[in-house]
Amino acid sequence: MKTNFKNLFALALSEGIEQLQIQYSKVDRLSFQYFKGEIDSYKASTGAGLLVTGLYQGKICCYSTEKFDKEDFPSIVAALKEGATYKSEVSKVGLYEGAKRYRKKKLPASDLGLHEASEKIAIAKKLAEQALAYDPRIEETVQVIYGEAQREEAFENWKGLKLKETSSSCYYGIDVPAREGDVTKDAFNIEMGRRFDELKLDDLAVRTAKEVLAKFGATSIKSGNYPTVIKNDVFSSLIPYFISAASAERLKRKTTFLLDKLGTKVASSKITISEKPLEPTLSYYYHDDEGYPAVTKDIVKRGVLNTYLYNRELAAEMGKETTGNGSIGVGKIGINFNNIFVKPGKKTFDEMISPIKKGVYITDIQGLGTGMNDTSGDFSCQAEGFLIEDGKLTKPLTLITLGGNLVDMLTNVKDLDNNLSKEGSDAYVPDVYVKKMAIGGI
Amino acid sequence: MLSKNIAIMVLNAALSSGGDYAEIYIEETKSLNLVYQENKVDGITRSHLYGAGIRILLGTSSVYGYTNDVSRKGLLKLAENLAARYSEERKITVTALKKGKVPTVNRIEDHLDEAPLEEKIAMLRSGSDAAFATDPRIINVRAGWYESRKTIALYVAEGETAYFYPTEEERGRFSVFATARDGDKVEGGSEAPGMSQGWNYFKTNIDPKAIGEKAAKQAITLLSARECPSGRFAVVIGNGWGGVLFHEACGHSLEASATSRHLSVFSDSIGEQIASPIVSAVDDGTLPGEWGSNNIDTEGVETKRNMLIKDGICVGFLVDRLSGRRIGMEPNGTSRRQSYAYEPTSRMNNTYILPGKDKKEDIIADTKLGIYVTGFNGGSVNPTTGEFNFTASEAYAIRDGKIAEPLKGCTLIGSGKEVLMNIDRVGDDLNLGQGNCGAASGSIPVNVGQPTIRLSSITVGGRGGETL
Repeated sequence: MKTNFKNLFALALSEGIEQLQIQYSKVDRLSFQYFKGEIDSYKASTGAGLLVTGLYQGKICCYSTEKFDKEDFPSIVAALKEGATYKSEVSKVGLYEGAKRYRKKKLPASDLGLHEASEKIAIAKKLAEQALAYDPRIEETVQVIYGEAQREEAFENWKGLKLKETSSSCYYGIDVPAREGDVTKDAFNIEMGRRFDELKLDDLAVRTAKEVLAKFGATSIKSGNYPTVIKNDVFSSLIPYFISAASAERLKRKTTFLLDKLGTKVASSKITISEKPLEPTLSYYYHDDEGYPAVTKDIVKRGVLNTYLYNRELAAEMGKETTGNGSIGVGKIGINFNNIFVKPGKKTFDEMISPIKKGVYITDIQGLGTGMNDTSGDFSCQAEGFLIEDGKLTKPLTLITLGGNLVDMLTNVKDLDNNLSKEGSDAYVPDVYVKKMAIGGI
Repeated sequence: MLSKNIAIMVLNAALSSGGDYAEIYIEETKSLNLVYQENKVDGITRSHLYGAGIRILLGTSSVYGYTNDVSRKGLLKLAENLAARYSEERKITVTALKKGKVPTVNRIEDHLDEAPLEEKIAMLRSGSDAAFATDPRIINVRAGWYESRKTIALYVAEGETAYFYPTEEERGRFSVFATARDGDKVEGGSEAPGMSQGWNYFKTNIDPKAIGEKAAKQAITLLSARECPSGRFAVVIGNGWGGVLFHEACGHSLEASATSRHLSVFSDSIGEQIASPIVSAVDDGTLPGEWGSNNIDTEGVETKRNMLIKDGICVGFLVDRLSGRRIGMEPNGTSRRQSYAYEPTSRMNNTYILPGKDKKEDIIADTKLGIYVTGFNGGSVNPTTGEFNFTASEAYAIRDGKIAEPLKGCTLIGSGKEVLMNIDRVGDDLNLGQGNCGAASGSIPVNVGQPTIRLSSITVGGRGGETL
C-alpha cells in the first residue's frame, strides 16, 4: 500500500471528527476470452479505492473515493462532515475500537504469478477444443473465459488498529452452444478457486457439452404443483434472499417476512443454515466492516430461526450482541453476510430422488433478480430442468417457471443430499427435494 | 484532461505493437446518494470515481485495461503493458490531435450538484409523507435521490490525427419504495423517475407527492392481490415500462456484440421478418434530456435514432466499433460502458416500440380473458437461445373486456422469436420508463418504452393454480 493515511487521520481528528476508520482495497485483474481460435478480448487492470467512515457530532458518515492522494484529504474530511450534518440520528455506539485478538485462517499463498499467461491461454484453447470435439452439434462459437484477481485489503482506525489481508482468486468459464435443426441451446459452467493449481478442469468442457446436448428435445409441462428437486447451484442463489430477511435492519422496520419469528419454525427440521466466515472458501472473512472479529453462528437450527443478523448499532438498540455482520451501506453501517452453509444430508442425488414418482428437477433459473419479492419472500422465475419419473431423470424441460415462497419452500423440504455446491457459489448448499412447488408451463 | 503531448505520447505507446485503433477514456464521476427513511435523513454518501481505461484494437480483437493512476507515468505504463499483447509492426503514428464533434443532446445548465441539499431532502420528505398518508397499512417508506455527474475526456486514434472528445453525462433519479403490511402479509411498491436534466427540471416536473402515492398504492393493491395463475394466456402489456418486454425479448439479441459473433437468434436476420407486421421499433440516443440519452457514445460516435424493426422486418443492429468490424457495419452511437473500468460494447440507449393506431381501452375491451400487466420489475435474456423472462410488479385479470381483480407474482417467459410474432395489437399511447440495464459493459441507464400492446398468447408463471 503506497498511500500513508496517517495524515488523513490527523487532519480529520483536528477538524473535529471524533472517530475515523478507513478501508483500502487494491485489486489487480487479468482476464481474457478465447473465441474461434483466438484471444478476441484481453484485459489487464489495477484499481484501488478507499472507503472512509467517521463519527462527527456523534453521527456516522461515509465517503468512498478513488482519489485519495494527500491533496484530496481536505475534501474527504469536508464530505464526511457534510454527510453527518444533515443526519439527525446520533450513534449509540460510535465506531469500533478494535478487538484484542482476531482469529484468522492462513490462506494458501497465491500461485497466479507462477503460471505464465501463455499457459493460461493454452488451457483455454484446450477446453474449447475438447468441447468442439465432443459432438458435431456443438457450434464453433464456443467461448472460454479466464479471469484472475489479486486483492490487497487494509482496515485502519483512529485507535491505531491495522488489519490486513491479501487474497487471490481465479476461474475458467465455458459457454457451449449447440444446434440441432432450428433449435439452439447453450450451457455454461464455471470453475473457481483461490489457486490456479486447484482448479478442477479435467471434465469441465465435456461436462458442459453433455449438459447442452441433454437439452435437445426439451418441452414444456402442464402447469401445476409438482414434487421439485432443486439443483445445488440454483438453491444456492435462493438462500441469500432468505438470509437477508434475517437482517436486524429489516426487523427494526418490520419489512421482513421473518418478523417475530425468532425461536419459531421457519423451515423443515432438516434445515440448518449457518454462517461460517472462517471457512477458507472464496467468501472467507475474519472481520466485518466495523473491524469486529468474525462470528460463526447458526441462523436457522433444525428449522428454527436461531438469530437475526446484527451490527453493533442495531445490537445496542435491540439489546443484543453484534453478530459481526456490519457492512458499510449508504452513509451508514448496515448489515451483510458471507460464507453461508446449508447442512447437507447423507444420501446421494440418485438415492434422494428415487422415491419421486413424478416430479421436476430444476437445473437452472433465470430472472430471480426481478422475480423475487424480497419483502414477502414470494418468487417466480424462468426455469429449465428435467422431468423425474419413477425416481429417474427422463425428459428435458424448457421455458417453464418455478414459483414459490422462501418460507414455504424451506418448510416443505423433504430431503437434502450430500452434494454441496462448488467453490464460488452464493452459498454452500446441497441439492434439495421440496414436497411441492408451483411449476408453470402450458 | 491530458495535455496534447501526453495524449499523443500515450496513444502512440498503445499503437506501438501494431494496433490499428487506440483510445483513452478518462473519467471523473462525482455522485450523491441520499436516503430518507423513518421520517429522517437516513444516509448521505458522496462517492468519487476517477480513472482511465485504454483500449487497443487489432482487426477483430481487443485489449483493454484500466488504472486509477491517471498521471503521465501511470497511463504510459498501462499503454505499454497492454501493447505487449501484440507483436506486429507499428501501423499508425499519431502526429496531431484535434477536437472531435460533440453535439449537445442533453443541455444542462443548472447542474444537480450545485442545487442545495435542503431542496433535495424536502423533495424526499414530501414523497415519504405522501406515501405514509395514503394508507395506515404503509409501515415503511424509503425515499431516495441519486445524482451523478461524469466528466469524460475521450481520445481516439485511428490514423495520424487523433480526436479529443470532451463530454459530460449527468443524471438524477428520485425514488420511493413503500412497504405495506397487513398481519403476516408484507408487500412493496415503488416508483422511480429519472432524467438527464438539471435541478429545475426535477423541481418543476417531478411531483414527489404523486410518486409517493403511486408507490404506496401499488404496495396496498398487492396486499389484496391473488396469486397469478400459470399457463398460456392473452396478455395486455401497459405502456412505458412495459417496453422491458421488447428490451429483453429482442433488444439484447440485436446488439452487434452478439449478432456479429453468431451468438444471437437474430444474427442473420437483417431483411427478415422477425416480428408481427404491426411492430416497428427504434433505439434513439438523441432524445433530449432522457435517461438513456447521451451526446456521444463512449467511442466518440454521435448518438443516433436507429431503426431496428420496420413493419416487422429486421432492419438494423446496435453496432459498436469492434463488432462493426466483424460484420462490415458502421458504428451507430450505441457503444456504452458503466465506467472506465469496463470495455465498451454495443448497448441500448432509449429503445421502444413505435405507436400504432389502437386505443388502449379498445385493446382491453376486445380481450375476453387475459392478464393486464401495468407494473414491471425487469427481466433477463439469453441472446444465444432467445429465451427471456420478465416479471410484473402490478397486474390484473381481464374478464369479458374489463379490468378485474389484482394479481401478484406474475412472470412472463418465452422466446424472442415467438413473442414478437404474437403481438396482435399496438396502441397509440407511447411512453418511456427508466431502468438500469446490466450486461458485459456494466450497469447503464436506459429507457425502455412502448405503447399498450397485446400478446395473443404467452406463458405466464405464478403460484395461483391453473385457472384465471
